Amino acid sequence: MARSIGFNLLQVLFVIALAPLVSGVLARLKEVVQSRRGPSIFQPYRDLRKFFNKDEVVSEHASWIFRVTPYVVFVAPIFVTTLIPVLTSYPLFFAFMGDMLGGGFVLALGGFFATLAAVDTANPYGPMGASRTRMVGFLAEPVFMIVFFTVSFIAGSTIPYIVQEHWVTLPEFFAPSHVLLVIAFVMLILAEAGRIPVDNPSGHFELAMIDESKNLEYSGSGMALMKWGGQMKLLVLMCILLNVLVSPWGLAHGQSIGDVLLAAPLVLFKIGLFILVLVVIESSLAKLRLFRVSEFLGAAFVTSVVAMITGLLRF
Amino acid sequence: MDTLMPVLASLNGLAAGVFLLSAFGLLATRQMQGCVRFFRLQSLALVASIFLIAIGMRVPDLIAVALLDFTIKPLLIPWLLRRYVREELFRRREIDQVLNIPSSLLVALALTITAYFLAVILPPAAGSMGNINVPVGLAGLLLGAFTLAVRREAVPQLIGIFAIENGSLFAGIAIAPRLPLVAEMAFPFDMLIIALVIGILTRITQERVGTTEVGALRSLREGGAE
Amino acid sequence: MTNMDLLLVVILGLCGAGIVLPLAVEERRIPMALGSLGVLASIALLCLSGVSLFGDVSFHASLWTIPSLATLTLSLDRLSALFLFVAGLVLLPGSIFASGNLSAYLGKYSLRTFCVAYFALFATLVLIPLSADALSFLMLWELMSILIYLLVNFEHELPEHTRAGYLMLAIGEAGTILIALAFIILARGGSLEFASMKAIGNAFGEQARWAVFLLAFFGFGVKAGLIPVNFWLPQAYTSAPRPFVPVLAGATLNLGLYGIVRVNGDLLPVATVGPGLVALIIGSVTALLGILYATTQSDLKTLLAHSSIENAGIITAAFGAGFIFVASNHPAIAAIAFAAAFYHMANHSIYKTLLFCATGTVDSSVGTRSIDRLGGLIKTMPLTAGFFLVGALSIAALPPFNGFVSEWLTLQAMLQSAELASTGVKIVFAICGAILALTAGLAVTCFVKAFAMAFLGMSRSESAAQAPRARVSAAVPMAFLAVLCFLLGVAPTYVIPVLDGAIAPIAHQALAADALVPPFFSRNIHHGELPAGFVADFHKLGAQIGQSVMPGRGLVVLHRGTAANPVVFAMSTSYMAVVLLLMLLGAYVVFRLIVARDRSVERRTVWDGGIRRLLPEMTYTGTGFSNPVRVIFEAVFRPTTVEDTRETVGKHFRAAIRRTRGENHVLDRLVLDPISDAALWVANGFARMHHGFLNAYVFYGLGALLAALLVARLA
Repeated sequence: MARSIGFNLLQVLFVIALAPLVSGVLARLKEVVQSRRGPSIFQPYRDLRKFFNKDEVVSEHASWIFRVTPYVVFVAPIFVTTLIPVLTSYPLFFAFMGDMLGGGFVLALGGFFATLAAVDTANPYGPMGASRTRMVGFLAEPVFMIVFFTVSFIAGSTIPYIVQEHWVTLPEFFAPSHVLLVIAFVMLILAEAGRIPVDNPSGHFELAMIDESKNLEYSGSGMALMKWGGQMKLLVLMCILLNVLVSPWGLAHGQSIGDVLLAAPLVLFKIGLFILVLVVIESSLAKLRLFRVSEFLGAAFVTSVVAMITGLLRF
Repeated sequence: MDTLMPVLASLNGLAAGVFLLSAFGLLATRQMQGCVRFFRLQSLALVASIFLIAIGMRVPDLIAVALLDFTIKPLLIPWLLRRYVREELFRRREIDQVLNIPSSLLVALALTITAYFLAVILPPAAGSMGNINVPVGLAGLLLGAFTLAVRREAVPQLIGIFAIENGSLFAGIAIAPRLPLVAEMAFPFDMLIIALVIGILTRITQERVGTTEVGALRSLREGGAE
Repeated sequence: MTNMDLLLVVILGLCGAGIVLPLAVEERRIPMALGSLGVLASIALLCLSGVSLFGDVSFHASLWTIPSLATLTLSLDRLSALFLFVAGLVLLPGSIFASGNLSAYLGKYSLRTFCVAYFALFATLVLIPLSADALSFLMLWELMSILIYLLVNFEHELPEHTRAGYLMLAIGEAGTILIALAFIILARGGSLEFASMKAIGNAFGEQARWAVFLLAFFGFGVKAGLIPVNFWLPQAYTSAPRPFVPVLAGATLNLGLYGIVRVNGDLLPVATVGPGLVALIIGSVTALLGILYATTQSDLKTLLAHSSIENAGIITAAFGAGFIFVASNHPAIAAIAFAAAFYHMANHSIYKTLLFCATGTVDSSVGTRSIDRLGGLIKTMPLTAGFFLVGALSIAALPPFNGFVSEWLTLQAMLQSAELASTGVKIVFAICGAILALTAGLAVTCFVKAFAMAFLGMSRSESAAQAPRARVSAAVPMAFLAVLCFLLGVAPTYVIPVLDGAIAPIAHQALAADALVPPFFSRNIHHGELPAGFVADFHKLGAQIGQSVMPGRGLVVLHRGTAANPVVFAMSTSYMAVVLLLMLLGAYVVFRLIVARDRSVERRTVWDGGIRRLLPEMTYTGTGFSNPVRVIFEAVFRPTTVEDTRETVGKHFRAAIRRTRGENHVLDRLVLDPISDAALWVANGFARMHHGFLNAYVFYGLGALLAALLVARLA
């Protein structure tokens, strides 16, 4: 049991420590692809240190909700980390606290508080972003559900540790339902993590913001936690995609600490590959107009339904 | 070979998935260019499926069909369209639709599900590998027809017609993979001729009238002035 | 046995006292009387149903025989007990809240009427689940309709309340007729008693079964708030007086669901997949429409009313899933679906009562329920805000509150359609699941809007800025309900076995408690049903933690699959709550107390984008917040622009355009309008016959006589 607790803490540490790096690499690569130099891949760490060293300024209208929110946003992805395979292919301590569906609801808890905090400050731009985030949120929900249905029809379970074992053989890997499922989930990640074409994470124009405008009023350590939480959410979603839905390749099977430590670079390698894909997507597409987002997620929905149907009617 | 079969079957399934997705793309994309791009993708998926079935069921004839389809559909037809339909038609901003995109996607989903249930009335596929082709081909056919119904511009409608053909071929190769080569070859050539004729027609209409939007053309009918 | 009798007599006696007492005491003492009698009666009700529910005691009493019709009987099984227990949980805080809010009406309306009707309704609510024959059931049902009408129409001087009341009464009567028809078909064996109806169930053919299902489903659907017969609900809920709404929403809606389960699950169980599909689809669509309209409302009370429709839809969808699983011989999964439905029903009653109490408190403190006029209440009414937040978190299905557990269980039950054979049914399940997921997403949006816009940010009106705090009589019931929300959320492993007894008769199988709550706390590993390795595996993951502190089987909700798929789904809000709390504390300690301990926190004016002063009117409103929903689902809302009024300054300078937008509810448009058009058309035809020529009327009489004779001759 101690080993199990230790490994799960290791997973949590992995996510907490490397989430800023993933964002840094993503930002840097994007700039490089666009023929610019870009910031160092360690810039997110420097940003976090800078924010933690600053005093906080809070709106006079804000209530305790505003103060609590950064912690909820920070903790929600960490909690989900304990439920999913990040480094090991076998379940770890307390992994039964929730399955994929439950994990989704926990992430929604963070989002719920973030939207509340955006309104709490009385900043005129906050509620605008909150309203739009919710729009993306509720449009993404049916796609998630169809993904879960497909997973359940194919794997008979929504426990990530059981689901991942179903894609290991070659015919299963190339099965249409699997590939389409992955495409649909990538589209979901783009929408949920506020990436292009749904939202521009590096935009600075308040009226066009979706995700970022919820953080406008944060400063100091509150801002640091919000940013860090967002980065971890992206990493957690990537882990679900890469380790559960794509293939459990690289995860530790053995029980020894060496195996688990070895898994870390392998998983990072997978994440690196996915970052490349993400960079290509983000560099070749333009941000969609707000109400075209529904068409983007409509496309994701269609993809997931096609995945489900081809999965249901395999011959 | 026996170990390869499941992989071939799932690759074929993947081609079917891409085929179906691009049929949705044809229907939902706003740009003329995108429409052609999705048609290309769909044709490539078709070619891939023909090729896989040719290998899986050991029908060498089908490889010829695949090659022919590969040269005509993704390469020749887009080129022809570009050549004979005025360039500006392609650069045009966005295509008009009768239904808005989310609703047409929902209708299309319903059509796809219906196609799966209707596929039973078609003759079954010749080999177990092509089983997925029948419903997907039928869905492709229905979606093509639906594209034809909701699009207003001439070129997307033309591509809708091609999509119908793609769909029937997709199902056809699985139902009768050993059809004489001649019969299979007739289709793509027909399409070429259609593309040519309609392309020229569109070009002339565009020159004379300035639009190829089907709704706008109605006022041109004889005797039906204003 | 005698204890049960005694308890029932006590409840009815207290209700009787509630009916008689107001006629005797002064009007201003009535609230006190109502509160104390209501609390006592609710506690007695909780005891009565609790004994049956937890102790598995049933109860049966024949009252008297009406010659040639039926013997009026009362009986209490665990299904009735569950509904009674939930009603008790609602009526207890509801009565306190009502007594606190009633005095506001002193002098304007008759408190005596309210009190009399309230206790009469209380008694009816208790007796309906108890009645075990069609005759008493229908009489009580009718009585309930009338009493609810009286209470909804309490503020009868406002014309819109009267209209809403009439509409409710009319639709309610239509529903009662459908129910009566269903019972007439069921009574083919000659007896109106439920027990004998149940006995001849096998004699029914396919068509009769469909008829009973449709009649009962839509007849009870009126009270449960299902489409297409729910258009009365938002209006009635909005018109109902503050002291009554919590009970109306928490207790009466359930009776509609009770009817559906009693008739279609127990008396004549659904035997084919078809009716289940109807329930599933109607439920999902009801949920979606309910939440769509809820999200776009700006009156808190109307918003909550529409959200009741949503929840009724979710519960019905879960029932539908259960019916399908029963019909296709998967009793174990059916039991999960029914557990989800009952769990959600109990949860909905509790959080909806909580939210209505909070809304009522806001209404009485601020004087308005319009979200666009509230704002910033978290500073003036911190307790109410906290309770509303708990309600909002619960209804938005966020962990670790109760809504999450039941919503998760509902969706999991639907995911189990993987076990079904028919592909078509699976696809229907998936589409309905997607609709429910969209509903869940919209529910989060809806309650973010309701809470954030009403309680956070800047006060948008003077009265909101100076709203007085909630009184004790409002805070106590809210606190009680909020605690229940949390407890039902973190202790699902204790709730599910209790629901089990109610499920057993309708799912044809008790949810073998192992199927959902494996005994990880059991010290005896070789426990028979569970493979030892399985338990050991979970013990390694920590599933036995808390064994020494907590009683019961365990804290993990888990469904076991086959050997290849050891676990189908698993969840534990109990551990989740603790871990989340610890993580939050840890994050706070690390980042606030250690990393940022030297950093100060200053309060400053909010950044306003560079304007001179940020006025409350400039901030975002609830209407703006939910506008994306309105735009995306325009096809459903189909707004009509009523008029554009231009306000001009001088000749050429336009100052503003005031645009009035109207909305025609989608049900009105698609269902009600065609029906009313048809009715009007027929009525016009008759009107044409009423032209006033006396001779013609005589001819009508002659014609009718001739027709009757001819029919008699031919038949």
